[in-house]
Amino acid sequence: MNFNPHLLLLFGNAFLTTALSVAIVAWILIREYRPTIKRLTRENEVPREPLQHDRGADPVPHRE
Amino acid sequence: MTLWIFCLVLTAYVVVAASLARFIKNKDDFYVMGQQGSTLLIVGTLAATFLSAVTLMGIAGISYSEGPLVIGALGSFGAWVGTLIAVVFIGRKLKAMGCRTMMDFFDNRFDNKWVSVVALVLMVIGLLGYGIIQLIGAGLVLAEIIDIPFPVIIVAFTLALLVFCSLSGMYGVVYTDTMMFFTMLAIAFLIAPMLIDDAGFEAMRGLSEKLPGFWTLGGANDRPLGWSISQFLVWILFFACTPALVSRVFPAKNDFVILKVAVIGVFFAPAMQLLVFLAAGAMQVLDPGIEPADRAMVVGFMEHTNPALAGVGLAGLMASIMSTASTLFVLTGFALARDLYEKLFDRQVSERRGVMLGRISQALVAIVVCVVAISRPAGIYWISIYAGAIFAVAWLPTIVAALKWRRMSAQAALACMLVGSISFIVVGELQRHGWISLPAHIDNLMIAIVLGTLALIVVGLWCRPSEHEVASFDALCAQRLSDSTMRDFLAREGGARQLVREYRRVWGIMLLFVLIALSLWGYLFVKLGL
Repeated sequence: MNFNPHLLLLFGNAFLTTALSVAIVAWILIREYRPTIKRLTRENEVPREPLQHDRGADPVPHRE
Repeated sequence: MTLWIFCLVLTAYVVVAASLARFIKNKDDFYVMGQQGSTLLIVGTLAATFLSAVTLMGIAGISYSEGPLVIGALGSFGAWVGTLIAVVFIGRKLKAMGCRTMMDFFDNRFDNKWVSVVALVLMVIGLLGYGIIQLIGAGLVLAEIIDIPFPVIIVAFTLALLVFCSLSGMYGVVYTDTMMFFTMLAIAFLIAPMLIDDAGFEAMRGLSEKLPGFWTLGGANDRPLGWSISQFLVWILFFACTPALVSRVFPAKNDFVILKVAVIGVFFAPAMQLLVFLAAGAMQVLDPGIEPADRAMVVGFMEHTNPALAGVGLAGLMASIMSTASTLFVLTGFALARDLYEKLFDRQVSERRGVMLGRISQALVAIVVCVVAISRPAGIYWISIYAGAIFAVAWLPTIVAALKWRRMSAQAALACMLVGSISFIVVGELQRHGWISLPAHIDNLMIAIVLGTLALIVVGLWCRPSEHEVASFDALCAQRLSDSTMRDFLAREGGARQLVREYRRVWGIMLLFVLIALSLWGYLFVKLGL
């Protein structure tokens, strides 16, 4: 075995690029989308057809 | 055969671009393709614009002669992270503000003609200088391979660009970029692995015996670490705010498209580059002694693959030139028509006239590009030294401060852009003529960015922002692309379910690409680094 730390840096940076982009996108999804998605999912679980938002009655999302 | 491939590929791009002209109904269609860009199209245009002839020739040449890590390990890493910043921080925020071009941002944020004029002049010089010099360099190589005169190549490219940019505006650029993206993918995921396989991982590892340092950061020429760090800084600062990349997200359909592009498009940046660099390293095993070294990949396509793949390789090389050039030139045309004529001269133009104006300015840009590229005046080489990096020194601190600093004013923006760009050129010229010598690992870009930022801070603290500037800052802080995306989804029939589905789809894509990245880079590390 002939470990090359320079190559670890090369491929590590290539992976880090994807890891960084995923971390940033996850942060955006959690901060900006999750509150609304959780509320919509909760509403969806209530047996009520059609969904209030599906009729376009209250299109403005709530910031939490 | 190479001539046939050249003609066939060019014709295919032109036919597709020309057929898209029927979608252009108004200015929005022309400038941002009606904001209907899907994930595939935006990933395609981003990745194709990212991969230029510099990767396939210049850096591939260095990877061939000195080793794939010399630029790939840190310089390219800067470009990948810069691309991520351009998409997810700057481009996404500017799109939330409703910008159709980069200049819209300066107009909306400062409402100051001097800021707009200086930003516009820097952008036109930067885009044209960078674009033309790439066209000349790659055109010369292509002319030699295909064995037709250089002016004929340039005229053919110009006519094709005229169709992309003038007839179908952003539609033409984005669709042809996506077609080109697939040929580039073929190079990275088909031809490059074939060359690596032909050479064999063991023989590639053995290159460090023949060329000591080949698999190190410094490479065979033992470049100092400071040089690699300076490359990282140059590329990250340049890519983070270059209009060519930032503006790729403006045609996106919604925020989910941008978030998916941030994951998929940014994955393809290293995936396409590193596989090419490793293939260039493999060429050192298969065919040592290629001169000049920047022909390494071309020799690989033409002499180490079958004729069909050689054709794909050549088409990919053409794509790398044309995709970058078409984006750079379409943005210059937009700047002239929309930002200079319509806004700076305050002309009210109808939708129809606006599209016509856009087309005329594209034709003008194409003619200028053609004449300059064919005549190759000495001045263009001088401009090219400074053209690309001008966005890093003049625009980046200005844009970041405009997005994040409430005290940012037009005066501070002007001070930063002028001090940054002028000091960059002056220090560069003094150094080039040997009148000054800079400390080791310090270059004119670093000095200029520090001076420009200092000027921005001093003038920003000195001058009070106007009412418009404070109001525009408050407005931009309140604008989120996620809000408008959710509002659009929820206003539709069945929109709530679609919104939840899109949200989950982005998580799925993130998971998938982490796994793909881990497998790809892990496999290559095991094969080469252990």
